[in-house]
Amino acid sequence: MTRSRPPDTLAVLDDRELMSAHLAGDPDAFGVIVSRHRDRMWAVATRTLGDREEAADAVQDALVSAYRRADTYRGDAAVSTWLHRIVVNACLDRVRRTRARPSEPLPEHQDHAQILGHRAHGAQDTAEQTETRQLVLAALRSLTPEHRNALVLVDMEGYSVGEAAQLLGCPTGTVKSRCARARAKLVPMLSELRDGGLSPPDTSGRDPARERGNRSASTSVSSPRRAPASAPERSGGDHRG
Amino acid sequence: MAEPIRRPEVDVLADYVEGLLDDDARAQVQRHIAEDPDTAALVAELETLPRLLAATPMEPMPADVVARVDAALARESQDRAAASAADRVGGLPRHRRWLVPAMAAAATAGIIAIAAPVVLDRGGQDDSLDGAADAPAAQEGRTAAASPESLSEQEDDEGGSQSPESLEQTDRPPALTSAEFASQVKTLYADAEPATKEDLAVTAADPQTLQQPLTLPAERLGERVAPVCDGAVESTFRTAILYDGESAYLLVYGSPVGGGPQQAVAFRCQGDEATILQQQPIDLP
Repeated sequence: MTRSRPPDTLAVLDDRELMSAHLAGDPDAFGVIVSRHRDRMWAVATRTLGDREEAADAVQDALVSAYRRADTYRGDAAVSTWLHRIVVNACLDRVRRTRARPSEPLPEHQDHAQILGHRAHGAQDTAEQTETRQLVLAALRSLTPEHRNALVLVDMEGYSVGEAAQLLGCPTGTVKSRCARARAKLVPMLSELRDGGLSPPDTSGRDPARERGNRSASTSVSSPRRAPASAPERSGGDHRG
Repeated sequence: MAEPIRRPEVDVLADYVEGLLDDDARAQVQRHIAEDPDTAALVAELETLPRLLAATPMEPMPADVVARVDAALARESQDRAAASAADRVGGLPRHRRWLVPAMAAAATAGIIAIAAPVVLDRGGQDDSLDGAADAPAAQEGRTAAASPESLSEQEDDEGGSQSPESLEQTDRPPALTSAEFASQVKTLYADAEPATKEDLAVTAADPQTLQQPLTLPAERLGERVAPVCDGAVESTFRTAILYDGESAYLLVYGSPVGGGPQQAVAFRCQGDEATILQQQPIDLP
């Protein structure tokens, strides 16, 4: 059975190799995988949940669950994609549970301040990026959870409409229409992103198809944005109820 | 928004961009776009929005969240290592101790299980020293060879204070029958100690396994449990059972997401081949 090895030994392994090491009993391998992808997990959690503590709980629960069920990883999608889906499911599940309460959007500045109050550990975040992100997060929080989650999955997390429909448990038409509603509401709120030139790539193109084709290329840095593709395990839907 | 009344609502424009309008409505919007620069600009904004959103910078996971996630995963690693060590030497945590002889029997019989360890029918065992006869090792002649060696190991681990007989007697696996499988698994769960229920909940926190094993052919199931057999993969969830009087193993899995039913599977595996004896959805509390 594999036991502890020096961390730098693990650092050279790719995610799949780390998964194998984890399954073989390596105590640190899974942590290395997590450290590679945690920012992306954090991003989707804060976007869908809009609340820092909820997001932290969701991410922690999801990663612990992933640790325990690593043997369900089939290897037909990237490890990061598999992990991301587990986090997304945990977040959506949490949203559904809190839906029992009245769904008044939270007051914007409250959460906003909450997120602002806990600055990230890294200094790699420029003031401008922070501002952009907070503007977007605040705008997202003004949406209903249904609209927000459809928009987050499709427009921000790179899931196809079909994948989002599966995750959300609703028809694709519903996902599209929720995305449209959400965009309609966000446009005035985010116009300064566009006009203020905070970060948008060129906006000259007016052809929707072209723009949408471009967006994943222009924004995917380290993420499996398009990766949640066609994993056979999803055909059964991994959400019950 | 102070816009001319005739301009299409932004919702309509968003639907247009998403391709949700019928031909007439689409033609109407296109006319507006051609005639009205503000409408055209709004449509352009709607079209651009997904790209802006996708470009939203990610906040690095805050240090305190990193710390708590790392701590949680470190706890997992410790638990796993502890469970693994316990399995290897036979010194299982208290609520799993009855599994020891069963696992010893399983080692030769080539049987393995992943399931929530649960204790059934503890009452009544004390007054029957002959209860050991019901244990798989004793009942199944083919497994008898495993017992002396494995049990003496356990004995050492237990400080040598317990005879194999008494170990087997207290640690007898629960007996289930095909006819009452579902209700008996429920009873197992109901009787389980709280720590065990937590374990079960953990097993249950797995929407994927809920789907997967059901569609797995028996030999794939064998593949999945084989590494557990060698000890290459630890599972804290191993339950040996007597299934209609024969040694077998119980696996309980399912999804708490949406409260779907759990699945209980009784199976036996010989070498790499698993034989599923019974498989049944079960609504656990």
